[in-house]
Amino acid sequence: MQYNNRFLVIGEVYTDVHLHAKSDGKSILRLGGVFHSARSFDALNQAYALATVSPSYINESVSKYANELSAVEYFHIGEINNCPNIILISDSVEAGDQGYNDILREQSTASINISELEKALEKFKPTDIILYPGKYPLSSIYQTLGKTNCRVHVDFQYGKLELEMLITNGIILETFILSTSAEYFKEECNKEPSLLVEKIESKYAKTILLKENRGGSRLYIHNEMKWIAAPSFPVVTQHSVGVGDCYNSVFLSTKHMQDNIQFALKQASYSASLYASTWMHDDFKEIMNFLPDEEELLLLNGIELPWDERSRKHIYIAAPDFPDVDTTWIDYVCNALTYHNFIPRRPVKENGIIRGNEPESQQLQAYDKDIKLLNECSILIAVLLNDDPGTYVEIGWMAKFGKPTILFDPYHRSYNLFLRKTVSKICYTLGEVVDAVFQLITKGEEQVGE
Amino acid sequence: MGSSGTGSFGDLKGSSESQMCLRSIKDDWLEEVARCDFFKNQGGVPSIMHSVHIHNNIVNGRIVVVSTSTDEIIGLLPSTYSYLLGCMKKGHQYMGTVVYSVNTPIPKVMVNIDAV
Repeated sequence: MQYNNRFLVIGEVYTDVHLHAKSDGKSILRLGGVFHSARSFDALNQAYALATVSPSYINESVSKYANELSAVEYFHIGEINNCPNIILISDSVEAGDQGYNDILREQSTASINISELEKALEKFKPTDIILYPGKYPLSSIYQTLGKTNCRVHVDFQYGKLELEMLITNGIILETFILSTSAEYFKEECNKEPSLLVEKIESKYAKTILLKENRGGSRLYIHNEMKWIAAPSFPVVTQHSVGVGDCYNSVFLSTKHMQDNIQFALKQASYSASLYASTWMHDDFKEIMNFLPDEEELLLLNGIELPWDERSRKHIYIAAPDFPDVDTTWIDYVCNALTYHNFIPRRPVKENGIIRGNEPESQQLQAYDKDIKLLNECSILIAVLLNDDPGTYVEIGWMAKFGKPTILFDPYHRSYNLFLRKTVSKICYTLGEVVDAVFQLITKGEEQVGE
Repeated sequence: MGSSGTGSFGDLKGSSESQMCLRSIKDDWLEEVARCDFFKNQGGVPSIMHSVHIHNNIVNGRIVVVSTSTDEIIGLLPSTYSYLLGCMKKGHQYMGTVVYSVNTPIPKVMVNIDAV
């Protein structure tokens, strides 16, 4: 496919350090920030340039890799001081709230060289600008963008102040981009897409792109007053870092080439899955040359589990959730599920602990409540911390009723044949658990009970 | 205590042949076996060691595994393998065998499949 648009990507450059992802025994280290878009545009053969805000020490590398990734131009439009722009990533697969540590972030200062941005606009002549706000001032950038005729797309980070800047500078965004993980969505929109549409009126943006992590994505078009949704395509996730940026790049490139929003959303989603499935840029770039054609991709099914529907999916947590057991892994699982807007249900916390010396009526009451809770839940996750008979019985109960069961075995202690063969899926990491939930919860009873 | 470095910037380089497309599918269950043509027409699941391959085109929105001898669909490949569409477009083909199958209580088929 030929892409006729010219994208200027504005944002910071980071060094991404993946603490738990190793290559040759060492933590994987890559250029991050705008480089995730750069890799995606390179793989798409889309003309683009970079306007970076970064500490100078990194510039030689930025120039070298911008060139390797076929950027038409590279402009250093801003400086980050007192901060190395190194991000330590402890949860590369975004099982939960991504463990990002932007070292020395609080003491960083940044300055923008607006003439360099003006030079970039004049020399590269972009049709589209993708802006990734960060820890640098935006006012002069918005002033300059307000004078162009380019389509402006912003991966939104901040709140009302940024919206006011858009109005002040006469900018109506072509695309307001937000992820369900963004603070703005959580804090200002109460995690409700309908509230997001109310807040980001048509005076701010023509369209709103909401990326719903592993559950799909959707675009709201103000002048048609409707959402268009697309599924996600699950993969064995190697990492989730920059996957959203890949999505943006592919969606925006495709959208302006094809008059088919649904296709653009699906192509972006499919490409983002490919980006998440490998660390190797060569691999990613090569497979991107063989994207499914439009007809095929429109037919392809994926996972469509909108953010707001997930809160109707209750997940039974079977585990020894007792005061004398270290329940850290249970907490991790529950936090990860909550992060993705599922509702974890912890029977011991909800219905109380039974030691065996309570009156029969009290024991029966707790038992009945647990059974009721099992029946209310769509899926069960068993956290295998010790040989807890309750956990095993609960697995069997759910499996018998045809509901998916996931065994989370962080200590690799599930040797029992019946246990291993009864559950729908055995997972050893939190990332695998989250992947399995998205895949199994959409199948529900229908799959297992067929 | 000494320190060690993490090398230099750079993306990890793959081999000249895309490694993603060469990943094996090992011991994976097919989906919706009972609703697929093979089970309905043959009255049961294929036996162990039955030869299978992945169909080049998607069927009802999914990548399917078919019997090499009858060309009937045995089951759907889990959707985590959607990336294989690109690999097949690139020219890869995928063949393998049934490694486990059972008719009751629920018809199930497990396969091993490799790029050829």
